[in-house]
Amino acid sequence: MVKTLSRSLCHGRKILKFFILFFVLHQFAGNTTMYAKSNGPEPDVKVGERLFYGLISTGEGSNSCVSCHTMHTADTMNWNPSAVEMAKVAAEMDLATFKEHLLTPSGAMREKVHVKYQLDDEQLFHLQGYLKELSETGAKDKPMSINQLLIFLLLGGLMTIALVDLIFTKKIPYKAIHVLIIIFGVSFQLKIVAHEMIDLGRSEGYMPDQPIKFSHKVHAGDNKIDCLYCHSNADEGKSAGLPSAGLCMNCHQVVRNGSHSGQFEIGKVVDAYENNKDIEWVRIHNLPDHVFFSHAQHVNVGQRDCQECHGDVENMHILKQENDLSMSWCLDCHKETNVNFKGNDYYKTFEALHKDLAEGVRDSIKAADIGANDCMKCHH
Amino acid sequence: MKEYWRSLEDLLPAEEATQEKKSSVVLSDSADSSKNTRRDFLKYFGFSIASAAVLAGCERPVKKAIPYLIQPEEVKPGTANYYASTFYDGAEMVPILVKVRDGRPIKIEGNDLCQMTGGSASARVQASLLNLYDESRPTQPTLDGNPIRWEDVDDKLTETLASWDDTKEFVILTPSIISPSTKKLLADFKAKFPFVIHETFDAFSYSALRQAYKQSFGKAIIPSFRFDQAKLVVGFNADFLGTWLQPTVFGRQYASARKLTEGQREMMRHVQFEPIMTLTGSNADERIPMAASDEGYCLNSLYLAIAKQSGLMVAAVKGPDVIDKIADELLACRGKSLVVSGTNDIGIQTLVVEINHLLQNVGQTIMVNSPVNLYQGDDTAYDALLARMEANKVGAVMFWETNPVYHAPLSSRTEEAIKKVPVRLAVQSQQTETALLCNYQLPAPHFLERWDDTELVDGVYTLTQPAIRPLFKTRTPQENLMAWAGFEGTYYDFIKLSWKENVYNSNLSKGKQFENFWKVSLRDGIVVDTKKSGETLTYSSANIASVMKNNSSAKSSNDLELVLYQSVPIGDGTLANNPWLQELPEPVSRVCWDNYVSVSPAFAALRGWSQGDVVDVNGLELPVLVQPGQARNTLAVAVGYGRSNAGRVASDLGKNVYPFVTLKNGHRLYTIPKVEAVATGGTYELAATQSHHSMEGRALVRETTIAEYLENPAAGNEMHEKVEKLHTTLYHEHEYKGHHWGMVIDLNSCIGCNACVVACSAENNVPVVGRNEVRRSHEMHWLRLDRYYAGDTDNPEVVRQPVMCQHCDNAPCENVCPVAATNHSSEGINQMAYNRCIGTRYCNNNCPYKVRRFNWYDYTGADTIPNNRVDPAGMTLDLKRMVLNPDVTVRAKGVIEKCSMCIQRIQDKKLTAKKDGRQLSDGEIKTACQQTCPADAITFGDMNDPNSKVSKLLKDARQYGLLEELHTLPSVVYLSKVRNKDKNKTLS
Repeated sequence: MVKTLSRSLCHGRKILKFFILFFVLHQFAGNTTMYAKSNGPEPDVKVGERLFYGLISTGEGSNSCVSCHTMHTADTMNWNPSAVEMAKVAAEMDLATFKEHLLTPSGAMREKVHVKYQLDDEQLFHLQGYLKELSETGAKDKPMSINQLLIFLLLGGLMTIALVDLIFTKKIPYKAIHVLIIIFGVSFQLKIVAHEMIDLGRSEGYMPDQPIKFSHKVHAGDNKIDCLYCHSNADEGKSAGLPSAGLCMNCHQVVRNGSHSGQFEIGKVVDAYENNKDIEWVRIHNLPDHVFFSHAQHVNVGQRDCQECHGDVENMHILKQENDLSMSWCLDCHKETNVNFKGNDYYKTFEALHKDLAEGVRDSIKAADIGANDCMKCHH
Repeated sequence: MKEYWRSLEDLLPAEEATQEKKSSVVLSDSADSSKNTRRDFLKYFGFSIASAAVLAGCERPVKKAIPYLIQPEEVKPGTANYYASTFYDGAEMVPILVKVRDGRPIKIEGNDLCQMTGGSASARVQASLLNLYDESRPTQPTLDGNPIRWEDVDDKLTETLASWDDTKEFVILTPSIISPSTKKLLADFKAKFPFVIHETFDAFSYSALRQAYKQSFGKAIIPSFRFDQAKLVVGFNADFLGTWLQPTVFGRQYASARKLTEGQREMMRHVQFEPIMTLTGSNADERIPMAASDEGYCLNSLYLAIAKQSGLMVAAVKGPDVIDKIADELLACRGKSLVVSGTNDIGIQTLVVEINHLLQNVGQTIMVNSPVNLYQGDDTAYDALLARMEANKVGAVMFWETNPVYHAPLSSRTEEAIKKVPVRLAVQSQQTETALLCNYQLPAPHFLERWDDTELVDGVYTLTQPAIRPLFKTRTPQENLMAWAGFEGTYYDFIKLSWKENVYNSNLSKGKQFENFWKVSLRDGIVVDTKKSGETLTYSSANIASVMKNNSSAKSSNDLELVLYQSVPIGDGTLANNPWLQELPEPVSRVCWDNYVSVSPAFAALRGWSQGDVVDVNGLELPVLVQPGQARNTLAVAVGYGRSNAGRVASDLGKNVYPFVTLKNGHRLYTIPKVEAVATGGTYELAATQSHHSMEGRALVRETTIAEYLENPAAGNEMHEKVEKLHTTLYHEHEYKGHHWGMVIDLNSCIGCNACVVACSAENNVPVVGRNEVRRSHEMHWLRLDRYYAGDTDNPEVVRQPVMCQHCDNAPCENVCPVAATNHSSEGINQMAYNRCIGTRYCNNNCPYKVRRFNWYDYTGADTIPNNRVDPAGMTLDLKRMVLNPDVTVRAKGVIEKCSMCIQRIQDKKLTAKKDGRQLSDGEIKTACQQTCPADAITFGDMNDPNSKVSKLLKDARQYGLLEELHTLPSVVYLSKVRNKDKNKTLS
């Protein structure tokens, strides 16, 4: 009883809110001069949001804000500041500055795109209000992909229909069809479940948003910077290491204008460096705690190319995890990869194998032949 | 062959023993029987379904990677740096290297540039690292319990000092200061404030030793002892391998003089007279139980016998036979012998000096010209200080890392005296009993957080450098003084300047500028000025007659005596708040987490006491431990326990016996001549690791005597050849194409100091399980030191054996694992994949060595599942977890673990060799146990390399495998023990 009461009260509040909102909105619509007269009123976030999403026109032929300043990163790199990032900048400005930035911008890209915007002060006020809120709340969670689930449910439905027809309706004369559908459905569902379980804790294709739109394509691809310039620890230590902001500044002391993102993204590095702020990158390649992987072993000793594990990084605007980093993936590679057996004096210890090579018993030594697949090589 | 028994339970009829065990199992089970009900089951069932759903539905947590803004040049993520520093806790000084990974000190190792320790370290040095991450450390300055800023402390103290009433003293009470810079600073401070008095207070007193040398050599010194130069060592109540003076240094010297490897055919002989079974006594070739009160009598007799034969005119008094025999032996080794005593009694120490003088040992095994600066405290001076405090002559007292309320005899008097001082400053890096009485709490940093220097022996300088920024708002006592006196700069600047003025000279500089010399010194951590030596002291006879008169010259009566001693793990109790040390079993009794009163088996039988009975000793209730080899009318209790304010771990563990200490002739006496002891009727279960892994009646430790060994190197080890002949197998044998790792343990070198156990725990994240879990045989140490007794219970012979995973080539554990979680590596290591283990414990059951350990609970915070944890020592706290080695997996509940032969070290050094494009050199890889071993008893290496040290040792006729008759083909090999005694002719 109490529960239903409170619930209906809740509903009541929502309805009340809606009415108040409607009323206020109506007032604004009716009296545009009110804003100019006083600085008192609160911006209408809803109007701001509609403006941002282009539901209210922002000017003839203009694109909606969100079409460039997206809420979430798509699979391809969007060089423009994301909605939240931009909101954070806008939230700091007073209205006049905001207006100037929006309507008469500097910078080639913005000049071209922003030229068609026609927003009055009131609209700007609401828009900024929305951005202020957005900067505080952040973007909503990305909607989850439901492809696999959809197939799973579809198959379930199909099987149910087949089952119902088999027992009750009997529209299809051949029972083999029902059986086939059910067998196919069950096995495909099992496959989905098995794959989901195997992938539990793996994250092939993981490409999270990063605090700075750093493009490996621009740096390693277009500008041909060696991987080891930034990840120099890969040659020496277990982890490849992330470059310190100081290292970024080696170039960005001079290079302040990005070819894609203008000053905005590079500005973040400069800001971090000058104001002692940490840059919190999102870690992409994660191994479980009981796995000890050494970059030095693979990059320095094994002379592997970075791309063998990390994929075509020099063509990735957004870095993603190319391989599933599963144990079988490691072991398979160890079974196939030749060891630089004659080039490195360390391997002189393996006298018997050198003899085999000399006598032609073997033509090559694989990593697994010298114990690369021992448990304790990676699990200690 | 000899019949060994591990403990008294082994000697009991089997049935009785098992019954006892059964009852204790039932008891412990009923005590914490699980109260799981159907509801709980449903709860957990529901939880697991829900968590599975959550796991399936959720994305992995986002992990952040935050790089440096400006990366320091020498710091590479994931690569360890080593910084040279020095351990000194007021008792022992050991030069160390601190391993720092990603900004956190995670391991202490001995500095191998030090010739005294040769890169070894004791258990306490290894464990001192954990005190850095002690959550009980004082974290910020307080005044009368209220937090205060350091600036305000400085203002107040500066004002106090400026408006000082000159009739009163400002006392600074420190442990023995071995730092030349600190000494200089104290002198400067005293020069500025003449009312400042510096007093030294040692937690455990050696003042009689110093005073004895003052009588005979005119200066209160402790000389350098050279056990390695001796052919015969006679110890009287001195546990020089465990706790006396410099155990790490002495252990190394002792072992090197007794090694029979590398062609050495001679070995030092060691005879020990002692009231209780100490670590040192258990290593002796011959050991004679002696009541503590008989020591004076024995030494008198020994002196007379030696004096007489040296041509001195002395009264002919017939002493005990054994003393006469020893006297003959000593005289035969003139100039190559050493007599030491650990009793803090001026009469006894003076006699020992005289005896050594007569034996011409001074200058040979006793170096009076290079005295050791340890233990400068004078017990009479402390007494005088108390009197001045009681007479209201002291206006302020600063307790600089000293804890007299706990350590001083008659602590109630100390307490009352302290209360009379108006300004009381506690400058402590740990919680102490004394700090409770102080109005100012001025926390000091741990030694790994600060700068300092030492000069242990004249001309041997070391530096202490911080390996981490201070974790808390702490400040060194030196910096306090500098701030209050208004000296410019930091203490680092002060040390540097003092080195520039006092240490740096043409002999050391070798043409280097000071700045260069300083950097090299800092890198090495140790500088030896060979040209600087101490004062040359000459012998001047002491009044022996009166000394001998004072020593009770007749055998003592049958009164019950109480001997107070330092246990090997806990020592004087300064580092007691340390889970690693508390969990470390005492090497002889194999009991941890408590102190107890040990009695001889005969005495226990007489009183009808058995192990675990609680007795009342002069008002203190303690459980009984029956200790074979103890003198008959002697009770013994370890000091260092019963701390009332030490922090979370050590508070209220055991009982404090320091209040029993009395002053005799102005020296603290740790023997109480007459005590009463009655059983209370209660019982208490001691946490002993004693009879948990009994290996009944098999030739585990093989031994022989030196004469037999010289005749036949395989003496005592005849079985090995027989077993080798039966070498046959149905299994295919492993083929090792590259490395084949092996380890050789020389039982003749091992002194059983247990440093390896702590080193292993630190290196491999071995959990601490606590007293209750040890009682249930759940201790987790990967490496244990088994101790066996042989012969007579009144005076048994002792052997010990370090046992870790034997890495069998034919491993019984591997065959029974249903999930192949444990299997054989291509380099001969029995590997354990924790994440594969499902916890059947078949392997544990099938292992003949019982070296596999099962995680009954989550001891180290490996998972976040509630109720999985058993954490009596705070090892799951974030602060303590900072000590974990990031290269070793933290094991979760439900998996087996065991020695991995420090696989992470093997991998690391192999990678270094590969990067350099060279072969691994022998000795490059050192396991943690090997590295810290003062006795060099452990050798690790590649058995496939014919030139490796391991391969050479494998050719020694003394080598055998543990339980080799089982054909497990272990990769760990033992070398049999040799005793330097005549088989048929014994002293007693």
